[in-house]
Amino acid sequence: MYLWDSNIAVHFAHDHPIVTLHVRQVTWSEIALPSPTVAELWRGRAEFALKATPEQIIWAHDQLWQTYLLITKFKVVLFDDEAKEELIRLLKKFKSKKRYADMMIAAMALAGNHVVVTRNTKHFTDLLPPAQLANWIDTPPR
Amino acid sequence: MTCNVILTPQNGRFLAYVAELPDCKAKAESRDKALALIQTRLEEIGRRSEIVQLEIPNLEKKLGKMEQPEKRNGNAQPQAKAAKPPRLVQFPPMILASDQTVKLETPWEYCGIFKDDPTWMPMLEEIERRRDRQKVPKLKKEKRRKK
Repeated sequence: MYLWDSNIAVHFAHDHPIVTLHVRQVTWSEIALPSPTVAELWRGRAEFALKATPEQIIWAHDQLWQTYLLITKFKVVLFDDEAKEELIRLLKKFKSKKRYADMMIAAMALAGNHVVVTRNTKHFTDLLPPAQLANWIDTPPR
Repeated sequence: MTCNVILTPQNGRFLAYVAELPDCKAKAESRDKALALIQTRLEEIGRRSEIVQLEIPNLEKKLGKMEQPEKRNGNAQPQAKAAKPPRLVQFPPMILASDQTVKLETPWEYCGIFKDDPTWMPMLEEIERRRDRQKVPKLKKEKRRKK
């Protein structure tokens, strides 16, 4: 499956033309959101809804609802024992102290033999083999 | 459609925003320019967007446009509060990738759904900032068994 990083999901909802071209080349059932992406999208929207001024409040909470509906249009990949073991292996192998979510998504991809789709490929090059990494924003489909 | 535009002098300029569309704002050095700008933006919204009328409880009251209560026997009577249903939504379930029985169609209606949302892309910037700051937890050291 193609596991979308948050930046790809955000650009899809922003009508990015290259993302759209890629989407047209695969079937939707091949695309999924890893749970860290779900968590980041939800946290971003929830924080805005919780900080909205009275003038923004109706709109902000409607956007929170719409974001939830957007998430339900995807299949969601959760952590399982294999992904947890991959995460531990990555943590032991790489002594990076930041960008934990990258490691989570990479671990899920390694465990399930998925392809991570992200604009930030440079953050994943150490974590994943090239065949398991794709950039649907800066690289148009062939 | 008539819109309520709120004009506020601010540091020698004029800030205009539409009461019903708080994100539709314009700032200009004169009152007339601010009004002209906001009109252009509203016309743009009118061209590109669908306008759906939703019943918003208490909005009229908050905008100070509550109708005067009818006078009965010369005395003002409090208006009976109309019971309006709350805006209820039912959260549909998220679909797990492991569930092979569910087939999803490409949701083209959601492609670009937040294109005109000024908070959507800044949210991604915040997601990226947080990821850069997000610390990796320390692994618990495995205890060596005594032989």
